[in-house]
Amino acid sequence: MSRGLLGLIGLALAALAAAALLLPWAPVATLRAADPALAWTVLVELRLPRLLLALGYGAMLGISGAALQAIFANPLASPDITGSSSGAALGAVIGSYFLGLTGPLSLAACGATGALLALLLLLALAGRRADQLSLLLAGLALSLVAGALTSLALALAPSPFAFYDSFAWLMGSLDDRSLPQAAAALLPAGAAAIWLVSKAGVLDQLALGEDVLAAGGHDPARLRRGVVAATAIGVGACVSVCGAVGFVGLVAPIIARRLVRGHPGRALLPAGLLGAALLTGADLLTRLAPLGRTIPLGVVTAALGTPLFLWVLVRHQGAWRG
Amino acid sequence: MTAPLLTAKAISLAHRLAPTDLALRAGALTAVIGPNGSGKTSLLRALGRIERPGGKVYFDGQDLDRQAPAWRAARLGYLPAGREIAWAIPVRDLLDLGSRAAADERRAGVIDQLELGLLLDRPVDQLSTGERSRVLLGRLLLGRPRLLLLDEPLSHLDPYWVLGVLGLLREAAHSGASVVVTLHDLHQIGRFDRVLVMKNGELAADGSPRDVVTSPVFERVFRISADAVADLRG
Repeated sequence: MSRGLLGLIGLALAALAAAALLLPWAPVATLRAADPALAWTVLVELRLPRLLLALGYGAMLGISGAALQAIFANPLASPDITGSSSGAALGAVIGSYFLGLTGPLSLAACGATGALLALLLLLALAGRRADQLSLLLAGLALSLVAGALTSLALALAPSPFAFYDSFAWLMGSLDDRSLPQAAAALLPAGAAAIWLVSKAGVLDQLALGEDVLAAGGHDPARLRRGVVAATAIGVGACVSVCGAVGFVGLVAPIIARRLVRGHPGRALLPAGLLGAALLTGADLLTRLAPLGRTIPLGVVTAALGTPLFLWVLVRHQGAWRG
Repeated sequence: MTAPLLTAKAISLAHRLAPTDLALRAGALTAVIGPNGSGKTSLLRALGRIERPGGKVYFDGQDLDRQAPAWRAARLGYLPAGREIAWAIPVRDLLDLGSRAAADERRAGVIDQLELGLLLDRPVDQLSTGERSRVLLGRLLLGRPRLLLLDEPLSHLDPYWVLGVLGLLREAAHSGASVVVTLHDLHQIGRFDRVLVMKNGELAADGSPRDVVTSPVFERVFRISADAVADLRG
């Protein structure tokens, strides 16, 4: 990818980040006139965690999607379609309502465990280098089962308000998250993202097949386990704080690969940047809701992502033959 | 007699390859033949340490398992039987994937010999299997590895390219590489220096093409007469 293009994405990201921090401006301006310290508190304690989560979660989804697509040799693999997001949500619900966990870090661990179990099940069901159909079907089955079990867990939860409480979270939301919550999601995600990006070169070579990688002295099985564990930890931690957000992890890598001449590993970093931009942009759109109402983040990413996804699907039918 | 380039001691794979000793000389073109499921690919995989349950492989006297990826990538080229590539990487990029970029002159030579010039900007996933075979072979030849392990390099190729690729492999052997090739089409075995015959995961015969084809082992292994497939008069 050219430096110019990378710079352009970076610039767009910075603009989106500034907008996410400052918009809507009116309440900040009013507060600033009355009490400058309070305005500052709103920016740092309300809007900053939200922005950091949007950037970090979006980047994690983009990088994870790109890495999963590389190891499955399949452009449809992504945290949502492999069922790992749903698995993470189930893990967090069980941790929160049945294990009585409240600390953001322990919930993040539950989310990561759920995501990991879902990915391991998927590997067992669909096999590695799975063809499009078995990956899609196995992932779909896992997502449906995890979703149903999440609903069941909420219905049976000791708290009668479980359903109501968790609806906004389940649909994806960055509202009212604290800085410690942001840290619980973003520290594991950051570590996972750094590890994944450090494997970009090997993931590129994986395009030639696992055997070629093994002949070159690498261990493909260890790479696969590492990618599965890293995406589960990163995505799981983010889902436990922000809920499951679809499409970003699928669409960002598909666009990113088109910017880097098809290289699956080299796409990781741009996929992260695009994911961050997509989620920050989507979160900005949720603020268009009338006062006192919220538009779930997952609804916006689905609305943005589906047309993009369909466009890629139609334009590149050749590349999608199973 | 110089020391062999590669020495394999008791290499084995569970249920697929019985413990086998083998030495490969630099400059030799070796064919591995055998019926379906006889262990041809397993032998290649064990030689390249793609799977490594048993035995040892020494390359230039060095234990292959102990070498860093960069060391191995510079010396060993492996072509798997499957030619699928899931990603739309342009041929130009694929040629350099996983190795240091070759010198321009070398690069131009390989592109010319394999007639890849017109394919350079096409995404590799849109090529025919035969074209992709040539691209993957070109990628290996660019790195000038001293050991080439090629699983069915002649499959998917038209007659012109079967001969063309055989010529290139002979050229690689001339410049000092050891080339090991699995073969299904026995018509070509006369062009090799050495033939290894696999049966039920064991090395059943090892010798010059003439020795192997005229030995009683041949008919026992393949259940056809040697005259039916190999013309060794020339």
